[in-house]
Amino acid sequence: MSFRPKTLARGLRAEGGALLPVAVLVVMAVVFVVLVGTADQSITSANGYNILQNVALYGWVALALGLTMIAGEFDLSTPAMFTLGGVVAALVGGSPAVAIGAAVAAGIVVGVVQGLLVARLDISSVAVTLAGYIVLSGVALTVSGNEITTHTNLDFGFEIDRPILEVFSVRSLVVLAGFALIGLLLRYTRIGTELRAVGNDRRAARVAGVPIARRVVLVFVLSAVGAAASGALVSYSLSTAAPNVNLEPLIFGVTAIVLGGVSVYGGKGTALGILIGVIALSLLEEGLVLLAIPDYVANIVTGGLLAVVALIAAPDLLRGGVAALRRDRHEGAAGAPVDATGATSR
Amino acid sequence: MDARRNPGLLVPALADGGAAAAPSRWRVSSAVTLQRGVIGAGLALLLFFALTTDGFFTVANAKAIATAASLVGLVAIGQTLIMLGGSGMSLSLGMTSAVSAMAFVGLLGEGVVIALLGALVLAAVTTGIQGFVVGRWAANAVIVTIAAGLLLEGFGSWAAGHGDLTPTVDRDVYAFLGRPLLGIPFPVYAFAVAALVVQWMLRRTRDGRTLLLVGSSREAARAAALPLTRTAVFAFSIAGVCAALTGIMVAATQHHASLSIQGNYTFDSIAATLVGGTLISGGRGSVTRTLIGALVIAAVTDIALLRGYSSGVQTLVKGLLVLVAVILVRLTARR
Amino acid sequence: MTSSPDTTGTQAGSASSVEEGAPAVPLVEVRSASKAYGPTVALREVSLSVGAGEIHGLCGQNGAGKSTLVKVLAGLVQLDSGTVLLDGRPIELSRPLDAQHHGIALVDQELSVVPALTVEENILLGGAGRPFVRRRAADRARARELLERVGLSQLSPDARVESLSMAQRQLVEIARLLGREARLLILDEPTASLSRADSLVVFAALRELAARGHSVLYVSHRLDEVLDLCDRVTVVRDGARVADESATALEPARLIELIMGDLHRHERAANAARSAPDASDAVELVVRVAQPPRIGGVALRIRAGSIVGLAGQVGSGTSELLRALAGLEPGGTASIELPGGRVARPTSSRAAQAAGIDFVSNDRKGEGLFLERSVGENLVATRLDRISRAGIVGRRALREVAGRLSERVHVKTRGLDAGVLELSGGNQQKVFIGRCLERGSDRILLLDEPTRGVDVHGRAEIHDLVREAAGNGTTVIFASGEPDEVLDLADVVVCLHGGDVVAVRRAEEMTASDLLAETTRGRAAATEEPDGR
Repeated sequence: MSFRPKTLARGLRAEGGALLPVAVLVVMAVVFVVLVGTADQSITSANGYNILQNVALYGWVALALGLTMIAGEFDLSTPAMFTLGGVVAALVGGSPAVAIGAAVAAGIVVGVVQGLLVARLDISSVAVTLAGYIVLSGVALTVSGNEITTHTNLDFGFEIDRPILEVFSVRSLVVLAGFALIGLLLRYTRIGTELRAVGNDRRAARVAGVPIARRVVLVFVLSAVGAAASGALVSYSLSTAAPNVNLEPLIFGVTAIVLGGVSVYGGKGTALGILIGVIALSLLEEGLVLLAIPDYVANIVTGGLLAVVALIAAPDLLRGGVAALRRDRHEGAAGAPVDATGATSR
Repeated sequence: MDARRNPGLLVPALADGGAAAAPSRWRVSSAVTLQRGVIGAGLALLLFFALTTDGFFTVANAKAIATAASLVGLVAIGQTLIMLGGSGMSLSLGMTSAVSAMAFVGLLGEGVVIALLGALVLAAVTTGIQGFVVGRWAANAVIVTIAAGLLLEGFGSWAAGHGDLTPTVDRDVYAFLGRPLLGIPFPVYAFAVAALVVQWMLRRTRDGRTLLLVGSSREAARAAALPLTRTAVFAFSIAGVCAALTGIMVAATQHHASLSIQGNYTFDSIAATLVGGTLISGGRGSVTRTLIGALVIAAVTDIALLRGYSSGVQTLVKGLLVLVAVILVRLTARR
Repeated sequence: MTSSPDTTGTQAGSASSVEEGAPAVPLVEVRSASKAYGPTVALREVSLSVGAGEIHGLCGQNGAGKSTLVKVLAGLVQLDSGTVLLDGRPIELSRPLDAQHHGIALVDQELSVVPALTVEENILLGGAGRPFVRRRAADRARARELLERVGLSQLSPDARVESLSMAQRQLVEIARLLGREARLLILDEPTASLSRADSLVVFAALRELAARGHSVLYVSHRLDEVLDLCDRVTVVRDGARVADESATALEPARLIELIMGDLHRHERAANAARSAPDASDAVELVVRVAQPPRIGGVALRIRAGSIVGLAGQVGSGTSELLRALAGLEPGGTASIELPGGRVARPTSSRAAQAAGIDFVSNDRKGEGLFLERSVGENLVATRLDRISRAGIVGRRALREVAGRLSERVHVKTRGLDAGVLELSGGNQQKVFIGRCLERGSDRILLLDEPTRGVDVHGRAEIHDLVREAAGNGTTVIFASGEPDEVLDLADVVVCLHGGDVVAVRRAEEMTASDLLAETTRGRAAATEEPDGR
């Protein structure tokens, strides 16, 4: 038998993280072309622009979630921080730099508090960030007076969405730059290695001398800042900030990062992979929009995709599969039994 | 490179002396004291605000609190089972409420019994499948339930057409589900019965007891050959039924059903469970605690409402309650 | 069977670079160290000296004081009296950080490399003096240099650690420590998880390091390896040093004698009293386990109702064999041929349970007890099916079963409702074992280190429980790293080494020294036919 399950399993585990996003992107691109083809439309630069605007919408949220997941944590508060970032920017108003700065500052505070609770008190990050989600939802509603806040500076919102080179915009370029920056951080600095170490094997990382608590706080700060800043940018783009939190950013982000090869169990993932996951999902969304597909179909497609992704990541499924494959191979490996009845030596 | 300048450890055991160290007896007992103190102070504060809030101690207000606590509490019972079993939480229970409510309203033409059964079975099966995936393959419950929520939303709105369903039958057929009985709101009965039944199940049935063991340690449960899959399906499908009951009663009161019925039930139910003090990693907690959690949250929200605070402040206070509860539970839990 | 001691050890021992009577001032010296934990004396007036460039072996039974000594050097345990000298000057070792400052590094049994990172990343991980932005060329050069020093110059620094062999991982960890100027490397059972070939790779690297002036303190149960690798060997027994000899002059038999001390008197009466199953009407079963690469293929014919003891050092495969039979090793295949031609395949823990197999893991807290739950709940955890009717647990039946089991195993507890965490280690273990007793006839009970972390009294009680179970017809297979326990409890002893059966003997025909010789000398013994005596 030329088929070697052990090699396959090891290969899947080692290379899966790198191959998955590429495969996903190819599949999505094909799906997109087919969708557009069936709709009897031609692909224009407007599609490219829309796709990149989609990337800009939740790209940083995915990046934020991905960073925490690489470090072995989970930040459920991201969608609330995203909303709050928009509300804060709209309320502060005035100079965009000040407004966005205020949103970022809010993100830093939230990230530090959540990070310290997780790292110092050793509380499950899901529990902490779930509480954070509710608190931040409340804060967003309170500071906005439960009303949609309108930006006073409408020009800025127009500026950042104006097409550049037909497909880009300032907003999408900024978001892409964020990916590049985090990508460089993960790849070329000490911090990147340490984050993956913290996520993959915390004990070993601690023994090696990685300052665990500081790294955990760092990812929560980066996560909250990423969510807040992109929420602020999006609010400029929409010229308004709605105070209600919904799970959409979280759903998009989780799907994108797992498709992008980030391990749900920490330690694996790259900024490029996350970006590819985000682009793939954005392609899908643009395709669905082009076909004027109803929302419920989009929900079913996304939900189905996420369900598949959850299964791919399920540890006991792989474990069971590998076991079954190996069993077939080693059946009957033991020969004639050794006598251990204790009867012979007398 | 001088070793002196280098904080990287040469001795592994140093690493275990950090955050992972077992708390001393003193630390545990002082944490328990702290916990009691905080709970006592919190209750005193609650009582103070209750006494100084006009209209809190009225029959109508008591009914309002009881109804709110019951509707959230029912979903929270399910959330508690899922958390106790070590699966973390479900983010699709609110959607399950809504979709079951829609199924109920849609089936009312076949008779109220069929409609009830149909909605409950639908909920039990859809959440049961999530339980199967989580229990059998240890899939991440948060992701699985988010996916399930999307699928439910998609299929729900597809099946419902325009998304808002109104009963085609006379209101008298189902109105008993939304009408007070002997002066007490109907959801209170449903919640009380469900709480009693589920608490009894946890104590007295094989599956309930197994659930607590699996939640305490999945690895130990696997080594002891306990049925991981069946247990998770058990927890999830009961959670589905409880969530469906809430949705059905809301629909019966409002005389229509749509996806918006989900409201905040998902997160409120998690909040009630955590405020009650159930351990997020499983194995410790009870339905009774969740009942208290749901009541506390309903009372606090009610006081905020009566005192004229916005829904934002209500949410904020809820979140802070959860945060405090999570910290207190962690401080007294074993390391 | 010590008649033909394998000679690979003594021959290769001469490969050492340092001659006897090492340098005048040893690198590290421990002088008359004493340490007591309450009434238990762990070390009495122990001395140890490791010269620069010396590989020094440290041997002794479990509880002889090895690990205390190691912990003292690592700054984890403080001495009651005695001094530690470095380069002839007394040093303070009150914290692990102190040990680190003096260049003393400990390689634990549990490795501290991060599987998902590359070799280079692992080597440089966590070192503080490093710049924020990685310097590609400098890092690469540093990694290559350190890899070369541990003999891994062929290994790509970009290889992921999860794709490496255990030996390579170990060397990567050592390379990291070398990068931090470690002068004394303490290796605690480093080859426990290594195959023989892998061990040789590590040894070559260690010799090379010693030649460059690093010192190694090598703690191991594998005596052949100690003699093979080390320049000198210190033996501790009952907290005292009994020997500090040149490895070249040491015969394996002599080393075993030093470790074991006077031949132990074994209380075999308890086993003899148990009605020995009559050979003529004995029911036999055949156990087969294959789990590459840890267990090549083991097949044993054993008698129902007997107690089989698996003896072997850490990593010999005893634990893996039991786990495979319990359905807990997804990569393994195991089968049990029962009388009447029925074959049970424990492909999962559920399947094992259905086949009548109960398993007591060596990890009581992680894989045994349900720590959040009560004593009573833990005792009945596996028999909820039996005490419930239509899915409802009978309250009286539950009380009755839990009460009976708790009495049967003599758990000292304030009540069945007490949290299982309140119990002492011995009592927790009794609860764990109690859970697996009285499950019906024709069952197989697997115990991995049944008395780990249990005091002498509790240990005797647990042994009685196991004998009683066997007396009632349960077939018992247990693994223990302690020769005395194997000989006390087993009817038949199966010795494993490197995943292979190297000897099968009746327990009363063996001494602890025999057993140690069988389980430590390796494959040479395997060629000898176990029954051919």
